[in-house]
Amino acid sequence: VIAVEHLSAARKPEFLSRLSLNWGPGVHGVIALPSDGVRLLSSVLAGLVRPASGKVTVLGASPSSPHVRRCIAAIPVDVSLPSRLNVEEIFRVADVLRGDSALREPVERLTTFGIERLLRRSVRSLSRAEVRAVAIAEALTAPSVKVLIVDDPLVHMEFRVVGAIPEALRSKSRDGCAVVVTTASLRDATAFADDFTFLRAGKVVDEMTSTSAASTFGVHGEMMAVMRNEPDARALATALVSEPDVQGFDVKLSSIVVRGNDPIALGRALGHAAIEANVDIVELSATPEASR
Amino acid sequence: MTFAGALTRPAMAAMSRSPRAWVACLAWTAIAVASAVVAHRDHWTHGADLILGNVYGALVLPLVAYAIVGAALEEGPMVGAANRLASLGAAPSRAVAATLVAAGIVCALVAAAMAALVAVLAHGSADPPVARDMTTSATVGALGGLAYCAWFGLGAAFGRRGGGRWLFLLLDWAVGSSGGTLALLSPRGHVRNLLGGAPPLTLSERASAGSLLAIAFACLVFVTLRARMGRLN
Repeated sequence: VIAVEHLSAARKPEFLSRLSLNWGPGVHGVIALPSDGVRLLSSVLAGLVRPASGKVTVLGASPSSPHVRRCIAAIPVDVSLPSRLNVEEIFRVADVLRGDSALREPVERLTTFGIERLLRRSVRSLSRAEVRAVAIAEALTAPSVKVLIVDDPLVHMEFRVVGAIPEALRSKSRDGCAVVVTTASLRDATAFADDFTFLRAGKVVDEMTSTSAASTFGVHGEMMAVMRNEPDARALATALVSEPDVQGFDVKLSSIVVRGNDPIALGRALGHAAIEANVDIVELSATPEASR
Repeated sequence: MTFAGALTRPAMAAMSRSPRAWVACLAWTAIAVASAVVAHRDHWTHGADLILGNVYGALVLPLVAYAIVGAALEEGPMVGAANRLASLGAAPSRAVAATLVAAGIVCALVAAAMAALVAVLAHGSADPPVARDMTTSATVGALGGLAYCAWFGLGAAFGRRGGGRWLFLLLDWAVGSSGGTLALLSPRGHVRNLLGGAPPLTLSERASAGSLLAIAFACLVFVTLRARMGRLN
């Protein structure tokens, strides 16, 4: 789906040097700091910046060509949407531009992420986290999106959406979408990526799969917590974000699967998070090591 | 909603829902109307000619176009407009072209209406018949509005925060007022020529009208190509 050959590009202060990558459907993590050129890579893959040399092919053509561009959704940390439109209008405009017809109503698509209350709000009145939540909800629910590029999906994100993101990204990739997640946090990346590309100073320094990353970086335990209901699970997920022993988690309806190095530390982290979120854990069980 | 409608919708919403742009347009309209009323009250024989050339064409038209383009771009750079639509699946070049076309249509309509209003209100005894003067002024206003819109759109393609728009306003003032060869490149000299002022390099009115269209087209193509090449930022 995404093929990059000897890509070099520059946009002050970032640069990329002779990068070669090949990604198909799946969730691909790019681990790097912004100064390593990761934001520039996102812009190039989204067709917003033309490379100085090398070749970038997305869905078999240049990412800036209109018929490919409509299948790409790029969500940078500082994503901007037309500020004078309301959220419903954003979805309607995007549907037409992407060529998606007979889609579910915007309110249903927002309900998937628990942010339906934003429907009538003007983009101008939204916080940065809410704008990102709207953008990612649009991208994840649009069937025409075949390439999704998200910078730091758990950063500056509406708290109701954070817990649902890992599973939503994986679900999108199972539909044949190539999801590229860029982040500086290996812990965040292990929560959703199938493979990892390490970028330093504009160059690829290492590539590995999730299994090898798990053994290298010590993701050895998984625990499942069952909550009373879905809102409780989301509240617990929000509290888990600040727990240092939790390396990743998935929210599925009213249950949460957390991953980390040490099962005892995971149990402690779940306890802390439950107290912080003021929710009750109905059932807690250890599950076998993550297998994707 | 059609594809073109979806592409132009954000710019149209930005222009129609921006109080800042409305206030600016109303303020400049008030200045043009007040000048026209004074000319009419004091029985200036060439009232329409003088007010259209010295107030409307020289001051009001460029500043109204500046405010409208600013509103369409949400007071930011051209790359911002491209990125906002690109987030929703549009190609940056199409996003830029659609934003400029939407702003151009609004600029042309507003400028034409203002020119017609000034021509009627300031009409003097030595001015051409009022109906003809109104039609001619509206046409010149529309051409000027289009050219200024594209001119400021080109300006917004430069500078991290679109500061080139402000620079192009100053450039139009500096270059367009000179009457020399450089005046051919900015809209000011041509608008002045069409409103009865001194032509740049003895250019005919027909040539000035063509030049305004050429400036609008060239600026639109240049900005669109820059967006297509990923060189807006």
